[in-house]
Amino acid sequence: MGTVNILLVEDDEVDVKAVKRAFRDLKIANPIVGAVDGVEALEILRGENGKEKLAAPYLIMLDLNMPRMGGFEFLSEIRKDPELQRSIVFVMTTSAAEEDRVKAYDMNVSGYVLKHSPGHSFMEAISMLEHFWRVVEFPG
Amino acid sequence: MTEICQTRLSGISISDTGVSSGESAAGRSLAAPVLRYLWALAIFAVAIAIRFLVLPVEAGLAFLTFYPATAIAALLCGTWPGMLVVALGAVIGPYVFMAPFWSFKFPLDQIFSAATFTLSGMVVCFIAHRMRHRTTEVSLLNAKLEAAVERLRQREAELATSNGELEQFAYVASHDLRAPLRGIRNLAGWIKDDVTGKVDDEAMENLDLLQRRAERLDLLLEGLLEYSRIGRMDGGVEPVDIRRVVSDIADYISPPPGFSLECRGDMPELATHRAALEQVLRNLISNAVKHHDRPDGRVAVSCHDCGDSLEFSVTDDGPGIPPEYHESIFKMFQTLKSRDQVEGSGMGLAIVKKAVERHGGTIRVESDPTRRGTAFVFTWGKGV
Repeated sequence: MGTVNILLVEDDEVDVKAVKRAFRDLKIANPIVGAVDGVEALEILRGENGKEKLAAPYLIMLDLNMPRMGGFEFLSEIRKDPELQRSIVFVMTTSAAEEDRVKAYDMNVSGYVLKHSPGHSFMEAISMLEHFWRVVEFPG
Repeated sequence: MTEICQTRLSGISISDTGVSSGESAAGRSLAAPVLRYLWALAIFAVAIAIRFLVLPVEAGLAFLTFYPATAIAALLCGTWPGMLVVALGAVIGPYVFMAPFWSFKFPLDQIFSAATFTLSGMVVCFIAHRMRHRTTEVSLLNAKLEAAVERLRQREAELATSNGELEQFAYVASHDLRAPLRGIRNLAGWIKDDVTGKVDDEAMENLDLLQRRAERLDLLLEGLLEYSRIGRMDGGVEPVDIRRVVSDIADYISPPPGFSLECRGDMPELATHRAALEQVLRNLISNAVKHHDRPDGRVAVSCHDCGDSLEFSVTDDGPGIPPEYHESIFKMFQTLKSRDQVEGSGMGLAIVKKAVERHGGTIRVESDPTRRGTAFVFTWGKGV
């Protein structure tokens, strides 16, 4: 299996920085491709609108509240698309709401992670993701 | 008075016929007085006809049907149409129905009877006038009352809307303002990490303060969010074991080792919104622990049944609260100590008060300035 590419779908610049800093501090070298919302993320996954198509294997880190196309809309788009439906998605959000969590798992996300939780630090969350892609076999 | 009667009459006739254009309304109000006199004449004609039908001309009782005619005309058409009936009756009665019949010779007894009828007819008209007056006044008052009720209803609806908007605002403000604030906290932390050892102590101290103030703002917004959520996230009514709630709270706030927290006396059974009651008790107990000046403080929760409601007391043996602050402590963002001394949002008691009042209760503080200790006593409705 080749290097796992990370597609970070996040509109908040500081949160993007937080992920990049955590990667740097944990010495994770996997390439991060950024998208500011669902629309741009779809363009990158499909190689549309002048974007270079993201090579497999990849893992998507998805925010929920974003302009134009939010996380749930993005999820329902990729689950309908035969080429993208097996994508591995982790939701990274500030929303602790029960209904969001249930809705996300209904759309077959691999995990629902709170950006700020009293139970763990952000670094722990990122390090869990690194273990995940090192250990877990990705779809072809 | 007559003006009011007329407007009312014309008003009624307009609404009855559904005419609403200004021109027809003007025509109506001119025709209305004439019509009313014509109606009085018709009523009088009917009275004469009935008199002829009921009794022979020679039978006497000349004014028999004229009294009711006067009353009806005065009530339905107005005072002056009523007087018209009286005048006509005073002439036609003696002329037709009193000996000599069908004659304009009026002997003294006829003049006397006519005068009696005229006087009593006028009294009837006067009474009818008063009655109409009353009716008009009552209906005017009624209309005013209805308008006032309608205004009140409108105000109530407006108040409900603006209350809802305010809650929505507090929710959105506290929720959405926290997102950039988290960014600020992150950035301050990263700068601190990156410059440690490279800048002087003063700069490090300022960075520390920046981070702590950002955390405090987050705490304030969290308090505001919690306040705005009261009543929205109540969940269902369920049986609540108060001892269990108190021991859960003790686990959650984990007071210093020397501290004692106990339930005193019997704890009645209660079915209510568990989360709301827990929120109230948690805030009161954690206040008692946080503001205590000794590590070996004692906090006691007791409860007694008052029929419709339960009365809870949360009592501590801390420093007490001076009487001049007994009211202001329940206001939003009020603290008795600087936030640098005791970190807190100042929302705790405002949240407690709102939650207690939503459950039909009241809250008061008892703290004797000559002794130590504070008791927060609140009632909690059993119906909710």
